Amino acid sequence: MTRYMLKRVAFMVLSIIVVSAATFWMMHSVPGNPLATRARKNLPEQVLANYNKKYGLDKPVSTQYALFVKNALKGDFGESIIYPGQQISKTIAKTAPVSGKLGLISIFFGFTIGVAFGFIAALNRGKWPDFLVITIAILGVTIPSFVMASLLQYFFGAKLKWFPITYRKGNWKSFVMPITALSFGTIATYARYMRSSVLEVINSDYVLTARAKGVTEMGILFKHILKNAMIPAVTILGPQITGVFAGSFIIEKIFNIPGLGQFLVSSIGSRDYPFIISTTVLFGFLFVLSQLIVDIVYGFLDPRIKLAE
Amino acid sequence: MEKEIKDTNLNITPEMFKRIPRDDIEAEKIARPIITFWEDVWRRLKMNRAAMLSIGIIILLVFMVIAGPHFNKFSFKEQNAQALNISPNGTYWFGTDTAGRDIFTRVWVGGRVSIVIGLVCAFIAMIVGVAYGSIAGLVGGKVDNIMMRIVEIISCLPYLLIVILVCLWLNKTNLGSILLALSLTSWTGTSRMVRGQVLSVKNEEYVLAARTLGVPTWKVIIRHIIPNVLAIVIVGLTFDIPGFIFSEAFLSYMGIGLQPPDVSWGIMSSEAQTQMMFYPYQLFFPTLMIALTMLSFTLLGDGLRDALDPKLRK
Repeated sequence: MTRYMLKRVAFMVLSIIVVSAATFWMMHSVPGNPLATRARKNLPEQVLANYNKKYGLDKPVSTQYALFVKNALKGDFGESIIYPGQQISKTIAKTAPVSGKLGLISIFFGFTIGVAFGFIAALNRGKWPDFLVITIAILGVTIPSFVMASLLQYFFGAKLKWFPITYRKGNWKSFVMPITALSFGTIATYARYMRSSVLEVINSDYVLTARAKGVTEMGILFKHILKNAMIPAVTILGPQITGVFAGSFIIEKIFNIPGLGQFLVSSIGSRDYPFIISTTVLFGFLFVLSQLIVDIVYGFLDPRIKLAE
Repeated sequence: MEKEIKDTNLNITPEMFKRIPRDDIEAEKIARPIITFWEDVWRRLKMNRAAMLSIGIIILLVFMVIAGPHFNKFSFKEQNAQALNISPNGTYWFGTDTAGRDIFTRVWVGGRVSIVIGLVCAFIAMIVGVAYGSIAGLVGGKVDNIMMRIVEIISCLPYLLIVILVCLWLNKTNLGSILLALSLTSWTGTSRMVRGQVLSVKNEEYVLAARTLGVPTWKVIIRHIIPNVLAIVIVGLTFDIPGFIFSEAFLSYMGIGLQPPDVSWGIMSSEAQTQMMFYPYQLFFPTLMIALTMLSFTLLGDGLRDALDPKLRK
């Protein structure tokens, strides 16, 4: 187990290095200069040269990358090119918690409600709870998150006035609609996965054996059925986490939430090298970390899977 | 000697029975016509009402995106200052937008872009994913390990970043650049899925039996591995199509996909979102089309998964 963990952590570090290097190379291979923005188009040659020197853009790409890694290890991601004087680490520290809060709460609700719905649907196969869950699942898979967000804004924000239409700091109510819009698709995905998984597990030999041995119905439901049916649901947790964080970009835009997504989109458009690389490393880290967590949880859920292998 | 059967109630006599000669070859014949795997798949798919309905909707949508714009006299670009934000009526069937353009025409022209992106990207993802995943699964060992690490690294890159970089590289945002950008990383999921399937299939008893009997490797691949992988790939393909349609809509919505005057369901949704409080119908039609397309392909995928599952074969 320890050997496996060390191996995975080593791969995590390698992945982040490769991702940051690839991003660095891709950004620098695009023709043009990020300093040639509208505000600085008519700058004298000397001033432009000074700017290039300040941001290290006059150095070879490999040197720039080495410098970035060296500073990043100290927690310094440099200064934004587009917004001079704005420290990237401070911007990330300010915006990442907002995106993180939105994303993590959405994943939590998406996972728990989705698993519960799928479980209930499978246990009531062919009855009204099953049809209700199937309907929710179909709607969740069918309706894009931005459409869901618009519908929520229209009905619960504008018409019923239950929740504020846009984000307001310190007001928990302003988080209800974004979280609902973001977690709806996740609920649907997990409900579908869980339903088919539970239906498969219910008819397995070990459930029959447990019944024959006189295990209580609750014991069978939670210890045998739920635990084993959770395995397929856990496998898609990794992609779901990254999917939710990607989806949060659009939700942040619709509800005007000052999260990382808003900044990333504008920074890519204006080619703010330091900001793009920093956020890409952050998202890469999140992705690899979620994969690691999934692997570990997978090992605990299924004793047949030996993590060391 | 045969005894005469006497029964007062039934009056059964030996004359009532006829001895039929038994033909061993005829006795071994199977009455049910032999059907291939794909015929069996189609037979079971036809029994799935939801899947058949979804096929009908897909055919209708494809027909409408081809023929729909010719059903009236309006152009998708044509602006009319006298017809701004008109609700659906006899002239403008889906109403008009903030620039006075006919939404009915725009929905079907926009559908061309969305459906082309969905189909082309899914097809590219399938071809690249199957090739990559098959090699990784069949070769195994270190090659497999390295190939899958590459997939994991590619998966770490935010596709938003890749889309924008491709558009910057090509110095334009059009259908081609969006197709290229979405296809660059889309195959990773398919390759993972195919690899997993190949790994499990290549160790199955029937593959081992075929190898033991001296069946050539290429025949084993064609007869045993590909048919077993193909089913899951086709299902994956039907689930990928709505995913790509959503991706295009997402990018256009964020303002980093196709740019006006080009039109797609995503662009229409994005433009309508700002007017939603006053003119909800402008958002309703493009999003209805996105939802219908996604629903149809999802239900078709579910139906295909059930029809292709060998465990369900009767």
